[in-house]
Amino acid sequence: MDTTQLLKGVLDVAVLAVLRREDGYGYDVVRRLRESGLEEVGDASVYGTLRRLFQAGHLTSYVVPSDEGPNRKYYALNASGRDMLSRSTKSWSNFSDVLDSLLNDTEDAA
Amino acid sequence: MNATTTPEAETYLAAVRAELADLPDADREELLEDLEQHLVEVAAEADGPLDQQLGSPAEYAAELRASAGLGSGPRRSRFEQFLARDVARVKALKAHPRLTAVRSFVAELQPGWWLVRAYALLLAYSLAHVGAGAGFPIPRILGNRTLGLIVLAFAVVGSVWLGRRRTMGWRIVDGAVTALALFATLAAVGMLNAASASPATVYDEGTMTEGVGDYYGDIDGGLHRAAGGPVTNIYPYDVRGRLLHDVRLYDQNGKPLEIVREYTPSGRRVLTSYPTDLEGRPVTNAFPQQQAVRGRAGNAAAAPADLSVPPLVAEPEQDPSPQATAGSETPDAPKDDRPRGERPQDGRR
Repeated sequence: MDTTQLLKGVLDVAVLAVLRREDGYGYDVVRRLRESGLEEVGDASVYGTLRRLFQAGHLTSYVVPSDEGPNRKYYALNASGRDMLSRSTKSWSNFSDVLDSLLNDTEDAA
Repeated sequence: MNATTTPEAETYLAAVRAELADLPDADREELLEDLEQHLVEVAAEADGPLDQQLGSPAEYAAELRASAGLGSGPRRSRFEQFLARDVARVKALKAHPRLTAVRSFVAELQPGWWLVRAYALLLAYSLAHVGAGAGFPIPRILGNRTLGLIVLAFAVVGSVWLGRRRTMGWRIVDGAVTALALFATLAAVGMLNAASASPATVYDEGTMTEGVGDYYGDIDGGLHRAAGGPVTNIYPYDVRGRLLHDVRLYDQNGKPLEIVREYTPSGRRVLTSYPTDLEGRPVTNAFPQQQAVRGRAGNAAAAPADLSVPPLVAEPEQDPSPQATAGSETPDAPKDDRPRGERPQDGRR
């Protein structure tokens, strides 16, 4: 199964989940996603997703000035984002249950 | 944003910007802002070409706009895609570590080249104007070594200054100077080689520089013995021991052998009469030469009376007389050790 295709479908909810734990800036979110096991995620995809979620009103952003480096733009979940996350989590659970049973059925049958 | 970006990052940004050119300005600028931050993070974390870490700008842009929900942009023709791939490949090649190492090594050699080219140009100029042997290793300007050193110092400074210019106009000048210096280097090497190959002394008409045995040339144009003074006449004898006349002699370079005798040891003027060729020109290398001392009759330089020239061939044969244009030797003259060559004016010795 091609995980990149799967990832494209669920990247939104993965990003939201990462941000629910803690606010983060672009590269930070990429790193956290990879550390959690999604090694195939592309940098550009994460940035673009953050942008899109922000445009859709699910995230807020703020800039943190830094002395030694560049200023970083942090993203945070707002109410809409949290709502979106819980709905998406539910639909994912349903979906994975359906797929699990489908796969197990075929296994049992074989 | 106070990030400092590398030239590579700038190139990458510009390329992505080009890929997003069809987007509304606001969207594009937001995406590029994110990319700037991304590039900074990447630079801080790992070394290596950006294309390797992030993919080509085209790929990054495509992924970015897709995940941002902004559509995939205008369809590019296959040719454009093909070009983009090649450009990316060339860029990847440029960033290849080994090539980068070579390029940085060449960059280290550059200051050395700036020195060499100043010297080469000056040396070529000096050799061309003064002639070989006078300008190496320190070039001479107007024949002066000190002046040459001063000009060389200025030339070196100027060359280094030029090499460090970065504007396009100056880089063109720098390229032209480099090309000229390369040409001058080849020319200088050629001139130095030619100089060392040619003989140290100049060969002049009538002067023999490389003599046989202990003979050597002299400035007054005559043959001299190392010890014993000048050669004033030459007496050629054939195999049968007979004196030859009007034998014309030439050296190894085909130049006529010349004898210049103007005065006797006692200071009397010597007059030489030369035979003439068919056009009436005097032949100055016919020997023995007819020399007369002014005021005295007779051949002042006749062959020495005690000269005994034995034959080289055992049996005497009937053979035609070896006379030249003005010989007065009779064909069947008796074998005589005495040199002949009488002229009507010859009288007493």
